[in-house]
Parts: sequence; C-alpha cells; structure tokens
Amino acid sequence: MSVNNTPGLNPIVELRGIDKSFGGVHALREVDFVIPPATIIGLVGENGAGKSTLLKVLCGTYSADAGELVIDGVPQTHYGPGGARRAGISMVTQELSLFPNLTVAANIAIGREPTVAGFVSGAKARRNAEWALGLIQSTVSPDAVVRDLPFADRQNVEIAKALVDDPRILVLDEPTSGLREAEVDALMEAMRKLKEAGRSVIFITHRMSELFAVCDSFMVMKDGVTVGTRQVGDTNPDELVSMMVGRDIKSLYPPKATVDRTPGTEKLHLGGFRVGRSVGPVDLDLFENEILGIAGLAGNGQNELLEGIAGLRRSTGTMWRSGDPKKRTHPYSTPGAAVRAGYSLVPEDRKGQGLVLSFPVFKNVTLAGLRQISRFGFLPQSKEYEATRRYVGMLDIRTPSESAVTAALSGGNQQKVVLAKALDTQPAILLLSDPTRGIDVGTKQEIYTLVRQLAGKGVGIIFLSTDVTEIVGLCDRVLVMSHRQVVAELEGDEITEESITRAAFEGDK
Amino acid sequence: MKLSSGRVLTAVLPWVVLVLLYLALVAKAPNFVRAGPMSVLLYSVTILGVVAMGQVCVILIGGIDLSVSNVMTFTNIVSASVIGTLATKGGFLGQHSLLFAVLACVAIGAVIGALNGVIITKLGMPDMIATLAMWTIVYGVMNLYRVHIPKTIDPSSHPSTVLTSFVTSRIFAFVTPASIVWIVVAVILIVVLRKTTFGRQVYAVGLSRGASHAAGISAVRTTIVLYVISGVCAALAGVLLTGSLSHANLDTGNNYQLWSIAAVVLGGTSIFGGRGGYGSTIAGAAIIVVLVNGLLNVLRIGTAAQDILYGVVILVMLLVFRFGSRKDDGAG
Amino acid sequence: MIWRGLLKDAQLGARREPGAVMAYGALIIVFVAWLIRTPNLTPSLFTRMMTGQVPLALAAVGMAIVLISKGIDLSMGSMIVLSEMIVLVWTGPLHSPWLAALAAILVTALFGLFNGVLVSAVGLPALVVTLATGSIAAGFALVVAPKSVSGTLPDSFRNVVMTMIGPIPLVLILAFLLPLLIWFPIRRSRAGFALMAVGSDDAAAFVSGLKPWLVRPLAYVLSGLFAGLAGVLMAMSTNGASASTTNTFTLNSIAAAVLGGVSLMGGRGSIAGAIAGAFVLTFVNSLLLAWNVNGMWAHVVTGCILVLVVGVPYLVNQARARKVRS
Repeated sequence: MSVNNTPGLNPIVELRGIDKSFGGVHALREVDFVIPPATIIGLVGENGAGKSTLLKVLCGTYSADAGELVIDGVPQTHYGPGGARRAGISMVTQELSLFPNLTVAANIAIGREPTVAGFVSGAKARRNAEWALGLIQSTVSPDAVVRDLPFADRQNVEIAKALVDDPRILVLDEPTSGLREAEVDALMEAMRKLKEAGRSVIFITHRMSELFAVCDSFMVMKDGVTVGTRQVGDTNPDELVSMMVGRDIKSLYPPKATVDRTPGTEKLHLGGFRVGRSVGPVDLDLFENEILGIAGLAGNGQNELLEGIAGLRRSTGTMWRSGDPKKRTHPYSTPGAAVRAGYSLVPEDRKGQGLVLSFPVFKNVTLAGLRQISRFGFLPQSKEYEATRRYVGMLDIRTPSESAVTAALSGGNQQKVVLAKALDTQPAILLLSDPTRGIDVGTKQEIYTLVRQLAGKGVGIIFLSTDVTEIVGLCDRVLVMSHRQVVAELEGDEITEESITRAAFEGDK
Repeated sequence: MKLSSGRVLTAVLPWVVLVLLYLALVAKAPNFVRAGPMSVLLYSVTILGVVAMGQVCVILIGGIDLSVSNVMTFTNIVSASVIGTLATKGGFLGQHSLLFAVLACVAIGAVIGALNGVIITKLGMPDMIATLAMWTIVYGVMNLYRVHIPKTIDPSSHPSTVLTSFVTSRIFAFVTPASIVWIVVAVILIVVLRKTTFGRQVYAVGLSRGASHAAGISAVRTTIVLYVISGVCAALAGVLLTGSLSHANLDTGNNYQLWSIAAVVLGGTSIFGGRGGYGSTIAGAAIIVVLVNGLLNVLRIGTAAQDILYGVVILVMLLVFRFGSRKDDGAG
Repeated sequence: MIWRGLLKDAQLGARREPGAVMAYGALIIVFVAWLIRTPNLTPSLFTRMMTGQVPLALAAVGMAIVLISKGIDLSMGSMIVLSEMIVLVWTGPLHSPWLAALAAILVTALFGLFNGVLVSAVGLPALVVTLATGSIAAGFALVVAPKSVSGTLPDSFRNVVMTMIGPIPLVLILAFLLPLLIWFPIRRSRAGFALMAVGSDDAAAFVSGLKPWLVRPLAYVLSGLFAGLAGVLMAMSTNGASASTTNTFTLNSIAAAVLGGVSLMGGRGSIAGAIAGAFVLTFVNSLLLAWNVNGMWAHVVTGCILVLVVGVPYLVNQARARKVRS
C-alpha cells in the first residue's frame, strides 16, 4: 500500500513488509510505509496498534525481524541509530532522552558536537542551540542545566535537538502533551516550514484537532497492520476513529449520573489540603455515585494532589469520610496507611510506579494487598491465581496466562493490570491519575464503563486527566487546577472544553 | 509455571559445575571421598554458607554488603578473646563463656548491619560505598580492639572445645552439628523467600522500588532488616571461624568479601536484585570451597595463583550466565 | 587562547560544581590547622610528606573519572600494588627504573582496558567484575613479587620525589600537572562529552547515537593509567614493600573523589575536586598523627567522613523538600 502525494517524486524512505515481535506479542505484521518528501503524515492508531514500534524501526532503535527498509532507493543493512541519523531521520520520542547534568546546548549537540581542531567548540554549540530553539520559539537558555528545567521546557529542548540536524524526516511521537498552546502552534509552524523546505514530518498524536490542522495525509494502523491511508481532504475524524477501532464510537462515554450533593453526605472531604511545598490549599468534596474530574494542563499540581491523598507525598490539612467531621484524620504519610484506610491509586507512571514489569501478572495484581491475602505470613499461590483470574475476566485483560510476565503485555493491558491491583484492595476511594494516556480507544472505553460502574457501586472516583475531551465526556463535576491551585469548579452543563480550557489558562498571564 | 531456557540454565548449571568439580577433585585426590576430608569440606561450606546467607539477602534487594569480611574477622577476634578471657575467670562467666561470646558477636553484627541499613536508607548512600565505608571503619575498630586486649590473654591460646567440636566434629559420616543447624536455617530462609509476604516484598523492592513503594511496601524497613540479617550472619560465621581455626588473626576473614559475593553470583542470583535465591547460593558456596580445597591441597597452588583463579572463575561464570540466558524473560 | 579557555572552563566549572569549591575551602582549613600543629616544618619534611600523599591524589583522579561515568573500580588498590611491585622487581632485569615504570603503567592501563571491555561491551556488572579483576591483579602482584622486596631501586630514581622546584616539591606539581595533561584534552573532546553524558543516562546516550561501549572503557583505561602512576610514585617513595599488606587505597580514593564533589550517581564531578579531596583526607590523617592518636583511627575517621560528606547534604536536601509552606 503506497501513498504518493506528489506524483513523480521518489520517496525518501520506504518500509516494505516490516515484521516485528517481542516475546509473544506480534507488534508489526507486514507493514508497508512510504514517506515521500515535503509531506506531513499523521500516523494514527490505538496503542498496541504498532505506531511507536514502527517509528522505532524507522529510526534504527529496533531492528525488524523481517522486511526491507529502503532509503533513497537503497535497501539498508546493519541499520541503527547512526544510520538513521546519516539518512537525515530525526526522532523525538515519548521518553525524554536528555542528560540532566549537561547544559541545553551540550544536550542539543550531543554526539555530534561542533569541533575546532579536535576540541569541542562551546560557542558554536551554543549558536546552533539558539537557532534550533528559535525555530520553535522557545525561550529556554542554551546555558541552562537541564535538571533545573520544567517538563515543558525539556520537551522543547528535545524537539530542538531533533531539529538542529536539519533532518529530512522529522518524527514526532506525542510531542504536544505537555506544551502550552502557543508552543503547540509554534511547533506546527515549524512543521510547515520544514515541509516548505522539502522535508517531511511524521506526527503521532491523540488529538484530532492537531492532526487535521497540520497533516496532509494519514496512515491508520490497527493491531500491527496498516488499515488504510487517507488524504486530509477526503476524510474526517469520525472516519479515522472508526478505522482505528472498527466500531462506532458515538457511545464512547457511558451516561452521566445524577448526583445527590446534600451537604453532610460527602464520601470524602478535604479541607485546607496542601501537598509538599507548593500544592494547595485545596478544598474538595466527593459525593456518592459521582465521578469527580481533576482537569488542567499537565504539571499543574494535579498528580501531586492525588499522590498526597494516596500517601505518596507529605501533606497537611484535614480529611474525613462519610460526611462525619468527627472522624477527621490527618493525611497519610505512607502509601501503606492510605491503602489500609481504603484509598487506591492508579499512578501516573505506569511502568515506574504502577507495575513491577518483571513480575508475572498475578504477582502484580496482589502487590498492594499482600496483607489481606496472606495466611500466617504465607502467600497461598492458588488464592493469587484465583484473584487474578477474576480480574482478567472482569477487565478483559489479554494475557497468555496469569503467570505471563507483565512486561510482555501491551500498554493497555498493562494498565488493566494496574487497575486490577488497585481494585484488589477493595478501595472505598479510587484515585486515577491520567489512566488512559497512551492507551488505545477500545481500552479507553472499557475503562470509562468500568469507572462508571464502580461509582454506581459505591466507590468514590477521582479521575485526573489531561485530555479535556475525556473529562467532558466522563465526569459529573470538574475541578480545574492551574498553578497548583483549584481555580474553577464546574458542574453539569458548565462542563465544556472551552470552559475548562479557559479556567486552565486563568493564572497564565 | 513456564520456565524459559535461560532460567533452567541458571538453576541447573551451578549444581552441574559443582558435581564436575567435585569429581575432578576426587579423581586427583581419592582421599576426599572419605569421611574425614569430606567433613572438612562440609564445615568450610557451612561457614561460607552462613555468611552467604546474609549476602544473598541484601543482593536480592538490589544491595551489597562489602563489610562482611571485616565483620567476620572482628567477631573471630572478639569471640576468641572473650572465650579466652572468661575461661580464666571461672565461675558463672567461665562456664558460659561461649554463650557470652556468641551474644556479644551477634550484637556486634546486628549493630553494624543496622548502621549499614540506616546509612543506605536514610543517608542516601549507595550500598557499595556505604558498606565499603563500614568495612574500613570496622577495620580500624578491630585493630584498635586488638591493641587493647590484655597482653596476657592471647586469643590463640584458649580455644573453646565446645565450639570447636560444634563446628568440626563428626556426628555420623561426615556430618557436623553446625552443618545440620545451618541446613535447617537454610531451608527456613528458602521457604521465607519464596512463600511468605516478606519474601515477596524483598523481590518486589529488588525489582522496582517505585512500584513497591506505591503499593505500600516499605523499602526502608525491608532493607534495614536484611542488612541486620547480613551483619548477624557475618558475625556468626566469624564465631564458626573461631571454632574451625582455633585462632584469630587480623586477616582471617579477608577472603570472604570476594567469596560471599562469588557464592551468590556463581549460584546464578542477579547482582542487580530481584532474581535468584539461596538454594543456588549453596551450590555457589560449595563450588568455591571445592575449588579452594582442591587448589590448596591437591594442586598445591600458592596464594598468588589462587587469587588469580578466583577472579577468573567468577568472570567465566558471569560470562556464561550472561550469554546463556540472553532470552531470559522475567523473574517469576 | 588555551589559557583563556582554561580560565573560562574554571569559571563555568566552579559554578557547576560547588562541591569542588567547597573541597578546596576545606583543604585550606585543614592545611592551616596542620601547619599550626607542625612548627618544625622544613621543606624536605614537607616534601617527604607530599610523596606519601600524592599517590592517593592520582588514585582519586582515576576513581573520579570512573565514578563520573557511572561505574566503579574496586580493583584500584590491587592495581596500585601491582604497579608498585613491577617497578620494584623489574628494574633489575630491565636495567632501568624508568622502563619498569613505563611497563607498570602499561600493564595497569591494560588491566583497565580489560575492566572496561567486560563492563561496557559485554555488559557485566562493574562491582563484581572489578572485585574479580582486583583479585587477579593481587595475584599477579604476588607472582611478580612473591616475597617482600627492598633496595632494588637506584638513588637517582628515588631522589626524583625529593626534588623541589623552588619552594614547591616536584611531586606536588605532578599531582596537578599529570591529571591536567592527561585528562584535560580528553575532557574537551567529543569523547569527554560523551563520557559525561553516558554517566548521566545510559539509555539516553544510546538513543542520541553515542556508543557507551566505546566510551566507558576509556574511563577504566584512565583509571588503570592513574593507578599505574600512583604505584610508580609509591615505589619511588618507599625503599621496599610487600605485595600482601591490606590496602585501603580503593576506599580512600572513593572517599577523596566524593569529598571533591563527585557524585556517586554518576554524571557529576570534577577532577580538580577529587585532588583536593585526596589532600584533605591525607592532611586530616596527618593531623591525627600530630595529635598522637593511634594510626588505626585514620581508617575509622575516613569511613565516617565519607558517610558524612554524602549523608549530610542528603539530609539537608530532604529537610528542605519536606517543609510545607505555612
């Protein structure tokens, strides 16, 4: 299957029949991908669809098990990151690849520092860095040390690093998740400039608006296979989504609930809640049957708030449950205490905090509830298997067996294991920190349905998300956070993408 | 539970190597099938096995204990001098000199282990450096102690017969009392690591601090407990050393720094934590003992070549495990 | 232009590595205290003292480079002994102490390469590898010198360490000059930047197209090189030695590097700081001796210093992070 936007021009890169497997997971099946010059291609699909894997093959990070990689008509052998660089392919990954103890200029120049008589020229490196940062209108200083920079600035440095080579193909894997709107616009301008100069851009994002704003064509993947390609003028977001998912997604979100918010019936109340040195004070109420959303741009204290409630960060303030101020408690100082008190967290960092990837699935499921399941200190494995089987059924976790290594599962299924672990402790309050980030649409829907069911069954739900559409679709009430404070509370019809976004920018003068 | 080929290799190889080495030793020195020499091998394995017990615990959690050699030497000296001093005093103290010696040594081991654990967890020091710092502190302390022992009591002149027979005498065939106690404790340790909550916590922390912390497992408490265990094991091994050597010097424990780590590594446990266990460590310890006795007695190789060989053997086994288990999937 | 480059480097370095600046501050304090306690100081006495201290400074430099690359070299002590023995024993057969010194340095550098290849290209854990190679090096030292050696070196060779340039002992100059000559060009090259990067984050280094398996061995080779130099100086300053005395060079060089601001997490630190750290340690030990304290206390003190230098800043940082705004 080939896409040729400019007939007559030879493609820069052609991937033919690419196959790639990891352990038991067949990530790419005979995928063809053609990249002509002067094009912006949106690579669209669920996670587990194989987009990131395909791009990593393109950039030499992974080597394909089968298939051909052709650059300028020449099939490649022994292709690695160096080869990709020489071919002019530059990639900005989801995982940051910066060195915290080096300066921005050093990071941007790493590996191909400009030299004068064999020694590195600091001045030249700085100039190059300034040029690249200017392309995306970033105000970061080349002499700043990366470990002192906030997340959004680091992301810009990553992009500048990819641009400084003046690449023929720029690959962007979810580059906009932490950026402010002006920076996103600047990035898209930079993409257009590259295209004008005859370069090409491959763009992965989960935001339809961005895709349709800047791409010339799309390639849709599903389950490791190419589903089809479309020109931007010939399609619309709904069609793309149904190609990705293969089903009508109009009913992506379950219906919202009517919530009784009589004072005194709160499931959870936080008063004057502060986390760490700077988050808060926050006053928060959660009611029965309710999905409470925490919205805002990434990095504004939302995750810290949830971690504070779950005992992962030091906090002060008061909290009480069941509307009974007499039963007030101090915030929990350890995660264990919070779990015992009935709080369960699905952490933001799935691989670092949510799972022990080398463990088999059943060991992860029971990890937070070891105390409950043990008899005289011993762990009966049959009970662990039993519990795991229950969750595999309830959450539809795709795994070869309960004892399969968790690392071999796809991202969406790994997240379901994290959910199973959180549910295993029979929580009264479930805290979810951006649980569907980087997850395919099908799994997202399953999670939404599950969360709504849990709310109906009496579990208090606090749902943090940086995806505004998701918040609008799922939550009954929304607290918007900006600059580590709650700046708005929205209920019912007030919950719209515009109102949330406006509130999120409130403190940003 | 599925076993990948890598994990089968890791589990079986140390025992295979052990058997081969033992057969080679017996071939060269048929003497070693007899009960007498066999019991020497056994009590040597016991001593190394005891200190390796502690070492494997801290390695499983992703740490290391480089202080064990000087802890062993220290308790070797302390137990010998306490027994010697108290024995001459007679009375209650004299009759229970061994008991007091053991208690004192256990206390020393526990304190050093606790210090290690606290420094590593509360002061943000990497395990290697912290235990190395402790190693040198204990080195200084033990030299200072040696100076202050009354000159009239020479630690080498009052061995405790009870201790000696506990460690080296033969109950039946080649079995010594100490080795029986050791095997019992070893079985307990293996069961604890594999089947209890505590054991699960150890592996979880060894594999992922972040995830185990978020799941409510206290890495701090687990770590400190394991380092105390390591300290106590090293201390007890030092007491056993007194029983087997009947003397105490400033260098009796030196080799055990390398040997205890080698025993763990040769047994296939990963130095990074989270994978492995004590069962295979026993095989590793036995390999080293057979090697040492073989080299020393049979081939009559001097210290120099021994040192070289220890290093080479460790490197070779590391390479074998590395290339043999490349397809290793996980740590179930 | 080189001087300006040096100066700019020093300025940037000082801003980026406050640890090194603090180490020099501590050095001045300890040095002055020691001076006060030693009223009968003569230039030759001072020089003799320096010869005992400079080997640690060189060892600290080698260890610092390895630590910065996020590695560890536990074979440092054994390599120094090996180098010392080679100089003492091979001087005769080679008819020249200088040739023996060269041989010693080559041998330890090769050992370093061996370490580096195993750790980096093969991917074996540095802790166990260097522990094992340390044993091998100790064995080789015994092979070279089965019995303790003495009196094999010509006076011309041994007097080098007593030489003075003006009021300053030559060895003191060497302590700074040798690392400068060897390390500075590397630091300013692509390999040097790659080394700092690799020490920070291995995965990021790979993705950025660097080759950690080429760069890391360089750190270990340098460690071996400086261990060799340290051993040569040891040989020069003692009349004889034995290969079997326990040595605490390994730990002391780590302590010196850490004192000088090298981070045990890799990626941070300076060679200049490590040198200062080494001198601080040795002057503290000399102070103890001047106060008539048993020499064995030095070991306890060094261990405690190491713990404090890492622990106290850590605790301070923790306390700062813990304060909740009121």
